[in-house]
Amino acid sequence: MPNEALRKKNALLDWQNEKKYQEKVLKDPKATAKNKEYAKKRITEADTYIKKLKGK
Amino acid sequence: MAGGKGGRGGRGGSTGGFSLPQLLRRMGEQGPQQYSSQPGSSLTLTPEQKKGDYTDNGNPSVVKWQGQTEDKSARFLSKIDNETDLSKYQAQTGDKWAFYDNPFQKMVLQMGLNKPATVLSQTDFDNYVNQTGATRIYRGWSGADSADRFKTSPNSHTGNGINGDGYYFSTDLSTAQSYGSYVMEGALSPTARVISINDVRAAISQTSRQFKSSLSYAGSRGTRTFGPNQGDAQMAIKMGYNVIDAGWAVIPLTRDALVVSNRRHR
Repeated sequence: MPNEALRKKNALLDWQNEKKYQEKVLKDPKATAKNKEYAKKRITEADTYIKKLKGK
Repeated sequence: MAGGKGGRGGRGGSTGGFSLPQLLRRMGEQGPQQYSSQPGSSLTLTPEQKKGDYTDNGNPSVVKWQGQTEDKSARFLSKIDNETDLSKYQAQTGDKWAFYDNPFQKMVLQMGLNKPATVLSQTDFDNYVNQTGATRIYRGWSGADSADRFKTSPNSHTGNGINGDGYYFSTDLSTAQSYGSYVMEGALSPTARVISINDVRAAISQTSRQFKSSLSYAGSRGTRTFGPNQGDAQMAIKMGYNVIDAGWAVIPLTRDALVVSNRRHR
């Protein structure tokens, strides 16, 4: 069973990777407006969690 | 038993995976194509792998879940949360590894979604990838024991993440290595059925408030503090898929969606 520190580290990596990916989607000319809208939402969410996880 | 006929008693047994010739035959004659549903995805899939026809070989619990109305599905999720005793299950099945408490884990156990991955030698694995064009994916484990658990446990042990519970893999080796130094190399099997996270979330947004709430509920003891998700894995199974493509991660929900190399990369 993963311990708390490991879970926190993995969650931070998840959010950082998701953010990087959604930033690519925003720059992707093939991405639809709906996808870009979702990407923006996820980047905001990622920023919140990254801040929270780094702060703890 | 909340899972009905396909639950504990009806696991349908494990296939023990496939041989290389079986895998190649099952991948079909049409080669993989770029998967376009998820923007920026680097996965290539066969037409079969894009079909939403996953039922775990007609597992009655899965078929029932897929055909259930939303209110019945919400009650089912609540029931399995209350009735699944993970420690008891571990003891009953003689599993030496404890379960991580997440809602999808309970569904996996109640439905008996425990078929193993196909484990091949590195040579056979390379042949599989080279001959089918399947995309190589990687997972970094925190320790050798966790990797062994994936390959040898009688049960599936699913993890938690921000795009649903399941097994998180990456098409990028260095990304996988950042999670753990024990890296497993894999590829999607012919029985993988892949849906994009965008399509899963779009479907969830169309469901009733009650069902949404049941899907996102982390369970009486489970936690999603660091990685909230909306019950994406449960919804994907309901839609007939056993892999979620999140773009930055490929998330098989059941082990039989994977072919893995038995070599331990470090």
